[in-house]
Amino acid sequence: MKEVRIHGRGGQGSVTAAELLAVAAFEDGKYSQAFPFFGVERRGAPVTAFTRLSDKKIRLRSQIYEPDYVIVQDATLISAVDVAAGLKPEGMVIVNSEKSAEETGLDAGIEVRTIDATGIALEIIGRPIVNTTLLGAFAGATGEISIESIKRSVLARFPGKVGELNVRAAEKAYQIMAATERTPHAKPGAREKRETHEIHEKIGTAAIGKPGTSEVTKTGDWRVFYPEFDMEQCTRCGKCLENCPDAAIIKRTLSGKEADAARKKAEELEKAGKINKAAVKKAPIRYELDPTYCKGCGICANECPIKGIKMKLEEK
Amino acid sequence: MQAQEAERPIDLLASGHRACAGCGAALTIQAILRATGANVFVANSTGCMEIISSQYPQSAWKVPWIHSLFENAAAVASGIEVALKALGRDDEGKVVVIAGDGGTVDIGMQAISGMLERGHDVCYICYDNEAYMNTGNQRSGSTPFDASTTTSPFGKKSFGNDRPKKNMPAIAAAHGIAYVATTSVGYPRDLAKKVQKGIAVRGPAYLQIHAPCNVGWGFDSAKTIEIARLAVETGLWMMYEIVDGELVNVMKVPRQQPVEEYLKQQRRFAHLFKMPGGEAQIKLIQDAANYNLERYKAVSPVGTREIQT
Amino acid sequence: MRAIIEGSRAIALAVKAARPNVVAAYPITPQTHIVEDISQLIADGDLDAQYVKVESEHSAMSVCLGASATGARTYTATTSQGLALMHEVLFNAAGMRLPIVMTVANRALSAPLSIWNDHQDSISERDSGWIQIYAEDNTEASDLTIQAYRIAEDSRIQVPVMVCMDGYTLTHTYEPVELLEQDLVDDFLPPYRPADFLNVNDPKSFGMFADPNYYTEFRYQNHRALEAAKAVIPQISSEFGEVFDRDYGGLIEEYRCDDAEYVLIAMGSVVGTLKDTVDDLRDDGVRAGAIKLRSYRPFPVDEIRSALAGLEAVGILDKNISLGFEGALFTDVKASLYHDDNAPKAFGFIAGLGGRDIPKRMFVKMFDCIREDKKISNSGFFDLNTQILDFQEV
Ligand SMILES: Cc1ncc(C[n+]2csc(CCOP(=O)(O)OP(=O)(O)O)c2C)c(N)n1
Ligand code: SF4
Ligand code: SF4
Ligand SMILES: [Mg+2]
Repeated sequence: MKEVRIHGRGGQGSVTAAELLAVAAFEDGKYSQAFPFFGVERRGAPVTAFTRLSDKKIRLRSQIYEPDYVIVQDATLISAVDVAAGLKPEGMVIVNSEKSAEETGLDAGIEVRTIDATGIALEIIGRPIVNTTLLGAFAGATGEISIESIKRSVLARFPGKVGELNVRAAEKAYQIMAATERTPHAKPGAREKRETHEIHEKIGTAAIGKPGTSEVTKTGDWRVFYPEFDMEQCTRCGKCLENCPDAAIIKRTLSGKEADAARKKAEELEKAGKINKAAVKKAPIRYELDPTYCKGCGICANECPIKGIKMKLEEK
Repeated sequence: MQAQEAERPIDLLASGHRACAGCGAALTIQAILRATGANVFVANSTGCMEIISSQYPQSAWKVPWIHSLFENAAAVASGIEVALKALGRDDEGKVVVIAGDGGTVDIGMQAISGMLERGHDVCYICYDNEAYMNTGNQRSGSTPFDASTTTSPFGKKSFGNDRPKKNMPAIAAAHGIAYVATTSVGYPRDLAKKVQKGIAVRGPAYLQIHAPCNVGWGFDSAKTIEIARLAVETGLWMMYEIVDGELVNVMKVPRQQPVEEYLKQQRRFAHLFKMPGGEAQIKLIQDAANYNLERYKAVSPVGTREIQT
Repeated sequence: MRAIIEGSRAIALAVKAARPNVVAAYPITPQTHIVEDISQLIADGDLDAQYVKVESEHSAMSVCLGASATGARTYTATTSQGLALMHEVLFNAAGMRLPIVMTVANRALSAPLSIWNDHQDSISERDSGWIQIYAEDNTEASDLTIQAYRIAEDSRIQVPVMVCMDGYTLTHTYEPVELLEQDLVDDFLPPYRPADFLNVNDPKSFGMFADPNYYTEFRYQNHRALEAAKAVIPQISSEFGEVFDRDYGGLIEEYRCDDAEYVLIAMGSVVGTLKDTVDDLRDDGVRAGAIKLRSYRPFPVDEIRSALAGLEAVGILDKNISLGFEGALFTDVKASLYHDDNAPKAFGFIAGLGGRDIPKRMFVKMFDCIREDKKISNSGFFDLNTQILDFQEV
């Protein structure tokens, strides 16, 4: 039996990927099983899904603790979740990243293979939906499953144009992975166990919480795009701040030398006819992004009356 | 370096909550709490806003908050209100319910009716994202006509939800309460004003706030506000007040947009543009929008005002 | 001071003496007299409490929950269908560790509809996390109401308490009741001052959800609180005894068990009839005894074991049935004896459902069965009228 654990974020289709993989294995004549870690996660929050592949009927119902393979849909998860937890010594982690295996920050003892699935998906599908692309990569990197079955299961789930684009993205990732050789382990199993989910704080009698403690959850990890503010054009209307569901925009009023500098710059812009007098007065006011919490929804950019906020792809 | 003054918004719903990016309901709550300030007691029903804000031990709430069950927020709020009275603490703050449309117009109706009829000094606020989102976008009594949801899907024999939205504000008003209002997350100033009015009245008040859900409705997360405004500009979401039983301050729609502008941006209505017979359905929706505008203007004894933000 | 009053009146007066801040209730037979009397006490200015005339029992419990979380002492009463309608909120209130006190005027559950007494309603809420104590007479029910607040609000406990009294048999019966002197109650039961409560100066969040990392631990703590109540209930009972000169003992009361060979266990008002029967049998030379089970949850495993040690046989009366199995007490008593090598033989009797009266001769018959080791037929249904059944003995 082979066990696969998929780490993704809500909305990235991790559960769908697990299911498609199971369907593909079934197509290959195997027994398979796919299930999510049942949770309440919303878009962007870390989620986990599991797939088992076997030649025999699968009876095991527990979660997967010692996976043969791990698929990481979003490299930002590596700092938040111990994605390689329990990985078998000869196991492999496939990470969606433009970076090299060494740059992912995963322990040296682990076989890591990276693929720029976001790039492929954006190029072929036109949206950063990477689950099907990564399934292609999985087929190519592991040989546990045929790319043909992956394609069939994708098309069965997404008929028509959408399915075809997904299949093309999967195919491309497959080719890339299949073309590169598996590097043998430097030090198999050398990895030290990392415990990220240990809970030490004592609980109260009832589930009563303290105000604002959600702030420990850095929802900034969730974003794919981030807003870039053009403070030169900004009229300081404050609509971005008003419309941010995550309170991720900070209004800051500069003082002293910094304020003077801001005013001076604004005066120059006014002379150049780029902004009006009222804007010069407000120059020391800044609207700034709090990247810790911004989920990259894009509302601020959409609502900015002068289109002074642009959404940029986050580098991951 | 000089000390800098960082002015965060009064974010009484703290960052780090787990609402989907661009969540209209979370933004609604931010806006509600900016309008109320810190001296409120919030009773929240089970639903998206409860789940995204209260995973033990992390709470996003910076005001006293309680969640008990799905259908009983109005009764829990009644309990808080009478307790404050009994303990001589009634000047400590106003009791506010924050509940979803399902928790309000469907399963919570009985408790709400009781709360309104008994005259508790509670401001009941329904954020209306037009379906049971927490459980995966099932139809509620507040789901609009023809919206495809997971329990009212379109199909060969279905155009989606076959009933119009339940008129909950009218039901609330029928209890003879002093203040009923509808507003939208797309109009933050209107929203703030109405929340403030709602908490200022002595006795029960009912507010329903249109709060688009990009995930359930199927649109780009950046467009939450845009969609909210389109609902008003097409005449599909009316904004008004019912003060002491009189319909007043109906927000005027100067340039009515065709309903297609609203519908076509949302996956829940996409089938209407593809299915045979869809056109006729869109026509029905247009008629409903026209009727809304007619009716609310016609019955308005006080007059109307221009759309403002 | 003693006065002859209706049971419901006794409860209303006890509630008054406990000085609740908030009462929320919905009328249902046979609880009605209690809430009517409380309404009158408030109308007359004798009780200074907010009475919320809710539109359902679900809301009654929800109002109590909200009020209790805000720091108020709360009270409600219900029975049968009303209790069943509260079901969801009962678990919630217990899990939120709110010390609500409720009188249950025990009544059968529909269908068929029955307004008469048995214990099916509260037994069906066995796992709700509430403490359940059953009263034998109206003075005990009244005294328990005061003790219930002490138990519920005790920092070691913090769970809600049901005081169960038989519908009609107690609620609608006039008998002399020992009234509670207000000054003594005030000494015994100080005002409620919770550590955590909803307030704007320290704005906490109540009723959060717990993922699998936490849920078990909260359940464990809730369970431990009920276990702790096994010591707290007798302790508060004896403190009450010191002040009021009436001590009901602990989780069970043993009646003439010392040298008994045969014992019957029962709950509620029928225990009085049982005690009389025991006296009669003793007069006839039968070494009979009775055990009154006062606390059903927590279940007094150790007390039952030691009370039954060395006995020949024990009978258990259930005014309820877990359909498809047997009476709930019968199951619990047998489970309590499981580890004892010389455990007495146990006989389960189901009787008194839906208001069917249990006279002394019925208990005599039960003792006969126990003594003669008779096979109990008809699944333990002991007062079955076989004439109205198309009947085959099973
Ligand atoms: C008695 C009961 N029935 C069903 C549920 C399941 N449930 C939880 S939240 C929810 C939907 C909530 O819908 P709504 O009130 O509109 O809030 P939203 O999630 O859309 O914000 C449902 C059906 C429940 N918790 N309790
Ligand atoms: S992109 Fe969304 S979350 Fe980020 S700052 Fe803008 S409005 Fe806030
Ligand atoms: S599903 Fe909709 S309402 Fe729920 S958190 Fe996500 S965007 Fe908000
Ligand atoms: Mg909803």
